[in-house]
Amino acid sequence: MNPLESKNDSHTEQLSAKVSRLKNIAIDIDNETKEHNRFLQAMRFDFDTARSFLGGSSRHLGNVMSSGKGDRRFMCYVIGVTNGFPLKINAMKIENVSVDYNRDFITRILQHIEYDALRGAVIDLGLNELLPKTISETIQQDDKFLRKMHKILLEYEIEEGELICSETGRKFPILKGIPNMLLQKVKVS
Amino acid sequence: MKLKELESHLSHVENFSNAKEYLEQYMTTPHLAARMIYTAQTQYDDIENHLLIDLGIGTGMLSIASCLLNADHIFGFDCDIDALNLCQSNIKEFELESNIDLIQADLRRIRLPVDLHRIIADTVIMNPPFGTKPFSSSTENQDELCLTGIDMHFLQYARQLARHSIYSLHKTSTRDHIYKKAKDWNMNMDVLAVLQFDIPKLEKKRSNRKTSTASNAPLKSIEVDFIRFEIKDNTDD
Repeated sequence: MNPLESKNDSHTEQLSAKVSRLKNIAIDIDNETKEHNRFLQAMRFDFDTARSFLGGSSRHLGNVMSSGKGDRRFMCYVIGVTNGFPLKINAMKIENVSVDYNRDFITRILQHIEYDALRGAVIDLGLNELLPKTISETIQQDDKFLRKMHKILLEYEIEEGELICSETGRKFPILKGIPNMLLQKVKVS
Repeated sequence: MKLKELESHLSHVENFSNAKEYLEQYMTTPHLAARMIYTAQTQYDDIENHLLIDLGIGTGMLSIASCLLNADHIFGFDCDIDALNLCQSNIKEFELESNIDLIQADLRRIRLPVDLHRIIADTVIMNPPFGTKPFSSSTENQDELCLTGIDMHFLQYARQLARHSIYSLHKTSTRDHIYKKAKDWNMNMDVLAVLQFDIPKLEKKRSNRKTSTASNAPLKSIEVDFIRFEIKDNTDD
């Protein structure tokens, strides 16, 4: 019986050696996988960052494109506008209204106004109002000047006309007193 | 003017007859508008004798309320001409034509020579679309979609246009995000009140579901923060 038993024993030993080797391999695989997972994780993070970058730029591009409506020339055109201010005004129908004069209001509102642009608009419109080239501190106290500003600012209503971008010539219609600043789909030649 | 008085005046502002869902057009109620503007005036003195801008003016409710509390002048912006026409007729009703100027513009897509930046108002008031749901495919026209985060877009514009303060409504659920943005944009933020806002439940275009039509759409009550933003002094202002 003994030789059989010892044979058996050696077989068992061999088997266990194989099993432990297999186990090692399994552990190796496991380690490898873990390593891979880490890599993948890092990669996903990278991708995420890249995606958010891309998302950002594609959103920007989308904004640009949607205003361009596939008309690239127009797209470039819009981007190209750097300094179209002030817009020119072309009035087709001006109404005169009468508004109560409020000196304090005019004084306050003057602080918000780009005087040169306003003066340009008055000239564009051909209004019969003479405005000084610059406004000094003293003239801002002058009742006659303030009354003139009151008239220009409040008593002329442009019912119909258009605003024109001085750089590109793009026109924005004014209808029923409301300027329409939406970008129209206009072919640019 | 007393609060009650203001509210009762405002009840004459006419509501949208055909509100456009994709633009999230629902009127600020007289009750809310009166309290918002009244607070802005009595607590912070931000309305009377100030130049205001109203973004997404809609029916003109907030602007009219401000005018009744002696705001100097208001520029109202909206992208929808129907809303502007309604607003104009409301303004006429109140005889405030010389106090409010309307401009049609789309804040999602301003790329203009005027770029708005030239106009600086003291205070910006607005009830922006909340824009938390991108309800796509409700219209075939891509242009007309409200974008997600449109309220932050409004706020960003408001930040550029306002010299002192901004009054706005935002969903309470987005408060943390707004805090963060306000900090980024160099503003102090105070939540003045939490309001209940009834907005029409937005059915998601399953047209075969015949539960609601525009007129009898069920109302959903959401919590909305009434927020005052104060712009911190900037050296580069």
